[in-house]
Amino acid sequence: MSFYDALMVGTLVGKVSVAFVFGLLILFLLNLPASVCSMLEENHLPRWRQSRFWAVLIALVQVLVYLWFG
Amino acid sequence: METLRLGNLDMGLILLYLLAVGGLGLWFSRGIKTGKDFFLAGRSLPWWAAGLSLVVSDIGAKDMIGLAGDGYRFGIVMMNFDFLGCILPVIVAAFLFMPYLWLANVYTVPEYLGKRYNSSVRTFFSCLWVLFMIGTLATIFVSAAAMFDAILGWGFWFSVSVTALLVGLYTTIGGLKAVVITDAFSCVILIIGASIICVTGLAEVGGMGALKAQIQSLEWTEHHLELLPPADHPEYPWPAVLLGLGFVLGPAYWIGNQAIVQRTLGTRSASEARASYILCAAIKLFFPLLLVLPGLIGIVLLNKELGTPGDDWNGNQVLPLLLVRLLPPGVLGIVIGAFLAGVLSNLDSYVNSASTLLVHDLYRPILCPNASDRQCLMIGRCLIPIFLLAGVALSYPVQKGFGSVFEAFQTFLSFIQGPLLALLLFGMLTCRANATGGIVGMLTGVLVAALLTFSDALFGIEGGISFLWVAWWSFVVSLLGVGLGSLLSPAYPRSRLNGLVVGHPDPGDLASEGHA
Repeated sequence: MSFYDALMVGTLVGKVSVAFVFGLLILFLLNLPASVCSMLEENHLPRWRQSRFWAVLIALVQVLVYLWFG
Repeated sequence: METLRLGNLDMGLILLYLLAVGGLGLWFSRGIKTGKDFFLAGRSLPWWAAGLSLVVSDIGAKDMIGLAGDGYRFGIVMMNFDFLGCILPVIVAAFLFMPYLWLANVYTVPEYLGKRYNSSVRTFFSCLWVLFMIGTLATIFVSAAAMFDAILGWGFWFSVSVTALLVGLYTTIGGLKAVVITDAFSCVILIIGASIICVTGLAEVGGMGALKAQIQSLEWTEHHLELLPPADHPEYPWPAVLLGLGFVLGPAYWIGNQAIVQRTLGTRSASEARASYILCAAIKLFFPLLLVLPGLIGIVLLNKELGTPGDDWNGNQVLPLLLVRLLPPGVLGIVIGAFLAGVLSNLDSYVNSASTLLVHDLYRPILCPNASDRQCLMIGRCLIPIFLLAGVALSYPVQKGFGSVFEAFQTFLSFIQGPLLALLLFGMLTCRANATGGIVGMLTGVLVAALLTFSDALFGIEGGISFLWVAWWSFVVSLLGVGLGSLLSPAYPRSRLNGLVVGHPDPGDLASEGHA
């Protein structure tokens, strides 16, 4: 089944709503100032060792999961 | 029901697991001298251990049994409890809330509410949490008993007694550090065991394609392969899943549940607290598959035996029957080890947290304000067997009163989660919330949750209202209550809110001021 076919099965409004919520989460993570969430100490680390990188990756996987299986 | 006789290899593996857990627990029990060592592991926990512990503190035997049964009954919609109900709130909590809770230097979530609102709010939520935790202990005992009955033919009371004794012995000595380290070990065993069930089950039904085809061929499984069922679904309509689970139950559980938050408060820094939450979210990406897939496999393999789920249908049989049907000797030992891992880690987390709540929010501030640290440590240890006994006593009515253990757990949860989240959000994100708002929001939220939960009996609403809607509406009403109550009474001075409200001041400033 192609991604388009999978997207069209089930509740499209529901899929888009949940994907939108996770999309907002990604935007929130990308724009959150490091000083607000006590992340200044992570700034000097390579990106793959920063918790923000992993959180964005997990949220992206969730967007795909809901668009495919929702 | 057909039961299995464990071979020598199975028994050996189970014994090995129990010895390993006991050994780890005792090894990490050394050096407990203060209450902080016992209740917060001396704030010395590594992020990876706290992260693994978070997973098994949330997913235990009740979820293995309950989600397999509900997976059979409702399908993959149950994965939302880990996706929308966990990953979404856990990521938000990791960045927005956990650093502040860690830096507030508290032992419990009600203690934070006490600092932010007042002691009445603290006491109210502590009492509700303690009651909820005893209820949770009872549901864990029921799950354990269902599994032991199905596999080994043990009676209800015998299973419950053995489980309580095992956990009581090792948790009373251990404290949070022993609990978290043994949980981390148990998490690995749980993943291995759950994977074995899924792999052998899929092999038996002929792979994922065959599983899908056979489920779709049945009449009663129309929405079983949809993660978001239609809006008119009787139990899990997608708007209720998103609003009730994703926006209320999930966040309240991952930000406000003492059994969850406590291991994060025990980490070495605010940064490690956040890392532990992210690790938990990463594991939760694949974990729901391991828990719900057995239910779908059960539809194919056990459909003739279990039939179509109706009102009196008992979902707790699905996983035990699958184990009996699928697993050869030797492998069964590993899976029972995994089940024991779920039972022990779940029980020790809740017992330890219930004891922390009672000592820090009720005993020390109300009953005995002059209690020394040594007395608190002793009381904390004594409370563990008492809580276990209370859980045992309640397990029998829980077993008789609810069709599904998971449903029982969620019903308990929906009563307090909405109001708790409303108070935490308002308190952490705004400077305007105060004690009057806290009390109004708390009481209106719980009242609405109670009215909606019993809407069937009170208002004659046929079938009642889904617990997801109960959570959502109690949250909304509570939020309005906190807002209105706070606006109609004087605000707190800004100086009182330092370190308690996001951005007021920044955690970095707090850390540099030595608050941590």
